[in-house]
Amino acid sequence: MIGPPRRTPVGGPRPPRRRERTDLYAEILEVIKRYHGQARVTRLSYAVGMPVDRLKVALDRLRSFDFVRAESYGEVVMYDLTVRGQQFLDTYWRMRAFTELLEGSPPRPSA
Amino acid sequence: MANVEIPRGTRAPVGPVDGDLIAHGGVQLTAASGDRIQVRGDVEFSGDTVVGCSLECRGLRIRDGTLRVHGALTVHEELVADDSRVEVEGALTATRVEVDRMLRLGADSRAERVEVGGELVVQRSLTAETVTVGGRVTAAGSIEARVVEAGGMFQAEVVKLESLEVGGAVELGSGSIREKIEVGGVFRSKGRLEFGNLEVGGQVDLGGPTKGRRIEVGGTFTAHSDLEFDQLEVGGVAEIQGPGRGNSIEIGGQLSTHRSLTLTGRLEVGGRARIAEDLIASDLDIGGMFVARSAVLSGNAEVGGSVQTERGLKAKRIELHRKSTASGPLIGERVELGRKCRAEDIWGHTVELEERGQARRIYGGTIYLGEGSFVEEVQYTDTLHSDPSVTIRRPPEHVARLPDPPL
Repeated sequence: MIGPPRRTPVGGPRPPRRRERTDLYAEILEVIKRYHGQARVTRLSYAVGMPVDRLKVALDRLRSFDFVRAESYGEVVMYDLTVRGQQFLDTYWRMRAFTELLEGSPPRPSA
Repeated sequence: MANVEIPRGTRAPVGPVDGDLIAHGGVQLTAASGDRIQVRGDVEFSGDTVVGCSLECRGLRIRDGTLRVHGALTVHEELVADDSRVEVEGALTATRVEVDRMLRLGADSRAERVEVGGELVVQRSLTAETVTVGGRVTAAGSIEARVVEAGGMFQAEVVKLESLEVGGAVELGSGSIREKIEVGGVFRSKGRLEFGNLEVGGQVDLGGPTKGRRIEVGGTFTAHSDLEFDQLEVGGVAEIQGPGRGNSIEIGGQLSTHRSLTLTGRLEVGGRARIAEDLIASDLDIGGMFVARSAVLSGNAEVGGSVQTERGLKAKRIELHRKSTASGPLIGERVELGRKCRAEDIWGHTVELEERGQARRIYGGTIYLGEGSFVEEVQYTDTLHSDPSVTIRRPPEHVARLPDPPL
């Protein structure tokens, strides 16, 4: 996911910042938040444009940090955001705005 | 009721169907007569399906494919697309729409509830009660709804909403959001915008004239045009390029304006505040430097760093912290300068210059000059309290009336 560093042309505009793993986690958490406890893996996969198998790995990691909780309804697993997940999102967006400001490149949309 | 079943890979004209219509993968359907296929019951499509005309039915279910409708699509009850995409060139009318992958609407469309897992594309307009999208919403035209929620991004030219909640980024042309906007990342608007409350975690960039109630931003805030608000709270840096008018402002980092700023309440900035023209407010609390053409406060002004004004700073009470500097007149009922402060001209009913302070001229009722202070000229109407170590270059004058202040 993390590619080689890009070269910045001298005097030219800065390239958009490289997408880090935390950006992806934030994107997944934001989608989960919108489903209000009804987020299924397939829906999340369409929303973030990520294959289900890779998404499940990311979800397991988010669960291990207590950022999301999973509830099983028969064979269907639904994900919901935890308070800790919301705290991560608040900090992530605030920090990202400051990083963009300090690095001098305009923030770009995440999705 | 007679059901009609279309076999896989068929190109078939379809007349009115009294029962249900079931079509298997890779079918292309046209109307046997007129410009629409009418189905009294439900329609089920699996795999890719093309409908070369309009379609009207009670319910519609699509599985594992793409449905393209070249005309209008009217579904009286539910449209459910599992693992599928739906593209409608004409108007879509439905009660409830649930599409897993993508929904593309080519003409003016209307539904009560729209739920899309991946992406919603609106080429003309969509009117709905609620719109929930996991990924991205792109609307070249307008969206009118009570509630819109998107996990990723929301882009629209014109909106008329009650509430908008987006995880990643919002880009709006113009419109109104009556109640609230909540955005995790970035909020940008190009034209005129009116909203209730705006809460953004990252960055806000308002392109046109904007009117809102409470604005709360975690990171940075820029308004390129007129801004009217009740409360503005920004964690980092704020810039208002047009005239600003509101109740109160609280900025963690820096504030700059290109025009005047008029507040009925308080201006509080943790770092530096630079007002290109005039500030009117009730109170002022600045941690760092304050720069303005003029500032008139009905209450108190407290500055931790330096004050630079062209026409002056006027408040009921002015307090400058130790080692602060002030250029431009200071006018207050009470003016207090901490130790080692430096100022130019000061007007006040009571003026207090702490230890080793410096001032050019002080015009006051009662004046206190602390140890080691230096003043070029002093005029007072009541009392001068001066330490023996104080230097006053010209003999102090006890006068009946002080010169008029510039503000």
